[in-house]
Amino acid sequence: MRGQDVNRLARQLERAAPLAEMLGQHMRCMQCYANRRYSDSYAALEKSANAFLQEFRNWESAWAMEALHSVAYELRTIAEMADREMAASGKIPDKLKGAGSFLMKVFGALAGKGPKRVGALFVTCQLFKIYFKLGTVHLCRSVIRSIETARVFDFEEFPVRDRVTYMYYTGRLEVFNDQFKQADEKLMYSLVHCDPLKRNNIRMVLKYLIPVKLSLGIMPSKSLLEEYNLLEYKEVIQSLLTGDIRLLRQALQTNEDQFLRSGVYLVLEKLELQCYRRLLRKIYNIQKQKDPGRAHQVKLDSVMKALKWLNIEMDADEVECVMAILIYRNYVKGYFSHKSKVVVLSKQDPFPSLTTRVNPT
Amino acid sequence: MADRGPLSNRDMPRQNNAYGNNGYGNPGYGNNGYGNSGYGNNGYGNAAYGNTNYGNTGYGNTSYSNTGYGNSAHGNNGHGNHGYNNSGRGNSGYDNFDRRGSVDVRKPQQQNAYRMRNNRNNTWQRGPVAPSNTWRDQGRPAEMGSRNSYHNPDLVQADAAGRRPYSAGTRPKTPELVQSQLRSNSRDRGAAPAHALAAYSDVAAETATRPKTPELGSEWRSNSKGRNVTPVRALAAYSDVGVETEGNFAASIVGTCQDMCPVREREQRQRLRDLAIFERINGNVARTSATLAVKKFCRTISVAELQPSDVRPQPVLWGTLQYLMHMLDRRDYPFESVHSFLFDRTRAVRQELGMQCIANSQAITMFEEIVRFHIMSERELREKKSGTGNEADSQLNFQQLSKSLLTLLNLYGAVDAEGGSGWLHEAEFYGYYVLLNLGDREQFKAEPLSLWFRRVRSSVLQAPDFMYARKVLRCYRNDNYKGFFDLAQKATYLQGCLMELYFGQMRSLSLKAINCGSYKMHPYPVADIASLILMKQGDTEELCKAHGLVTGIDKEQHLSLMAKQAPFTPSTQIFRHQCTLISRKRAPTFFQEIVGERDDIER
Repeated sequence: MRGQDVNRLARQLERAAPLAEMLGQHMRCMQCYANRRYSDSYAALEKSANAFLQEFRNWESAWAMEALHSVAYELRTIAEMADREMAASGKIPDKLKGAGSFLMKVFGALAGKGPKRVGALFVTCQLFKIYFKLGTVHLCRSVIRSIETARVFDFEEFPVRDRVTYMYYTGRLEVFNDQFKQADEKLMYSLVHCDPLKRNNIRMVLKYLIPVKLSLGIMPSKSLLEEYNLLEYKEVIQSLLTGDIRLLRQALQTNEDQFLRSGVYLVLEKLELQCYRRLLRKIYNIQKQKDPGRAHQVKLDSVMKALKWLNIEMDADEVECVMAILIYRNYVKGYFSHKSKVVVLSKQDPFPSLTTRVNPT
Repeated sequence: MADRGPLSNRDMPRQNNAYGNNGYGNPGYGNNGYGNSGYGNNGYGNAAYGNTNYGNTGYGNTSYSNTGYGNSAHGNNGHGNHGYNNSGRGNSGYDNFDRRGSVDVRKPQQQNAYRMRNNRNNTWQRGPVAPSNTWRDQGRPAEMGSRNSYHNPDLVQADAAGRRPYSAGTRPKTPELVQSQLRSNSRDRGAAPAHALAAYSDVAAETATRPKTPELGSEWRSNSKGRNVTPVRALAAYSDVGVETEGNFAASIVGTCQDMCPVREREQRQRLRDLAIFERINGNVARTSATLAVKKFCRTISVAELQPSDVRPQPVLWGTLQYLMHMLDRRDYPFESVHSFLFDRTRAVRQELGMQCIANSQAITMFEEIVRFHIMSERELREKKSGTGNEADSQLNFQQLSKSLLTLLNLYGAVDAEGGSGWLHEAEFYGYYVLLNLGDREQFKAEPLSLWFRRVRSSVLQAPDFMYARKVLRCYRNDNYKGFFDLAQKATYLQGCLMELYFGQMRSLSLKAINCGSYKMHPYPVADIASLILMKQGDTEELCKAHGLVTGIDKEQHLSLMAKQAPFTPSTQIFRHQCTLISRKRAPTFFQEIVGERDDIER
């Protein structure tokens, strides 16, 4: 070939080069995927995505957003498969970590001002899924900060499916950090905006929303549990309605694995105080029937007897401690006397509603 | 390879959030100095060759063992990265030891070293490259470390631990040394970062049956097959937390030093008069012997200069540890000196275990003993702290406690127990982890407890030691102070040491609740409160006063707390009353407490 032809071809190749690499590596990725070699498939995909990203950065408009999204999605899923493959063959799985770092780069490219920002939330959600799977949730922080402190862009401008997913994950994070009010807000947002036909998604949101609501004193109906197959909460709710502490502990124990896996176990443990409140209320109601005049004075002895009947051994000091905490935390209005070993409930509204309760810190 | 594509790092649109830097968007290969600074670094921005993936998280480390905002030594160690490029809040590979994290006492030149072109690590050239003069000549990090310890007034008992941290860098350069530096440096560039190590380790794993041959000089580096096998999971166990050496995981060494302290170091320290009190013969600061000297901890060991004769093999480490633990019961020196000596030397032991990637049952036992030592000394130091008000020791100890505990838990996962029945003390140590993290309310701390529980094995979940810790957790979260103190009475000594961290909180809580709820006409006798919260009556009275509560004599001549007092001020001083109940639980000697009852473990 003549010199100029070679130069011309070389120049053409240069111009097309990034896309060529991208396509070439993508082909390789698909080939490996078809042969079930997921680690190699992931490696090729990452190179392809890298080339794509370089080009994407240059483009002014966001015309290739959908493609970028699907690449991000594939990166995550193939990395997961690759990790499984690596773990099965005894190596340390690290592809998912690599996918995480790469997606951070993608996020960096999207998160600036401009038309590209709309797609950033999708990538954020993919990042969340990766971090949650890996267990390194503290890395979510920088991403969240960047989404939430952007003043130029309104959150509502993101597509709804991304918003629902985003609120779901941030809600879960709040649950893990015991911030129930915020968790409630976020998970409710997610539930409200979720497509009613996507029953699986609704179930996932409910799985975390129910413990939060229980902590705030709101019980779901039985039909809800049955409809979405969340029966593990049935006994918990029943124990809260009857003040049956034994049942609560049993329920936590039988479903321990499930609750630990979803991470709500510690939240449910905290419901014990509510259970004590309900027990006290039952005792109060029974006493009211027998002798309305003196019903508001509940002997610690009666509480101890009730607990004994539930096969829970507690001495007077511990019962007093529980009562003191109930009063201190505004679950119950009244006071207790150490000397005479009684709890005296307030004559009006001794059991303020749980939803309006103020928690003293 | 640092800048791929038209947008270099400088041109990348940077969003400065409130903390100054975006941690993301930095290309993966190498540090350009913009990726690691201040807060908001997430490890994923700077992955691959320059850093490990966990390098810089929000507050420094996944293992939350850093004070301030720094990175652990693991953070940015890699090839050609000598620790300068961890810019930001005064932390670099050698600084998380005695640094509060917010003060950078390095010279301005070193502080801004990351900006200097010469300091860039992103010259990943393939093939042999002569090392640039700049970073090698720019002052040894080790000397920097020594300057820190000199001027840091908080480093207690500097004399006890020896005057200067021993630096590998002060060795005179022999021609062979320079040669091996050159050779190994060229090989290191482009060599394996942590996650690609798996590939090499696979190769090594296949050769498991080969005998270990101690190799001399720089030959040992050349052939991976002849070296000690690195089980992949053992490596993961150590690299997760951060082995405190600079770089090169690709070469794990087999040590050959048979003494507690390598000969070279011993002679050097004798010359420099750098011997701790316990290492001196007859108090002579310039003479020591093989039986007395113990290898010091060195934060930055440049791998190029490390030789097998400087590293102690496992049996020697075991013997060293036993010797050290026996020192705990010495009565001739105050506990602080003994503690700082042991603190430093056990850290060296841990470092060498990590360097050699030793992961077997003896290593686990060693780590268990070290963790117990840290827990125990935490308590002892706390007591002393109330007297002198010196925070540094206790904080450092706490840091190392977290680190070693994390490594230990990783090791449990990595090493298969013989007989398949699990480790004897595994549940105990998982329990310690829970007890240490009872109150982690900090947002986005490394891993919320809820998520951590997912990873615990079911065999551990049901074990009595762990169930105990879970009960404590339940009482703590439900504010059940009576239950909490009841459990404290049933605790073992070490569990009690950890629970004591929360005593102050629970005691204040009990006073608050009682003050809030008790009946005006029936004041609560202080004696009852005292027995409830495990304090002496006099101390309880003081505690009430500190909270602004008034006590008085009631009708039956008992000292009582008046109810419903409006001002409940949080205590201004921190009360550190040693709970005698817990002191009584201790075994007769410290050594017994640490070692426990054991039949002779393999020596």
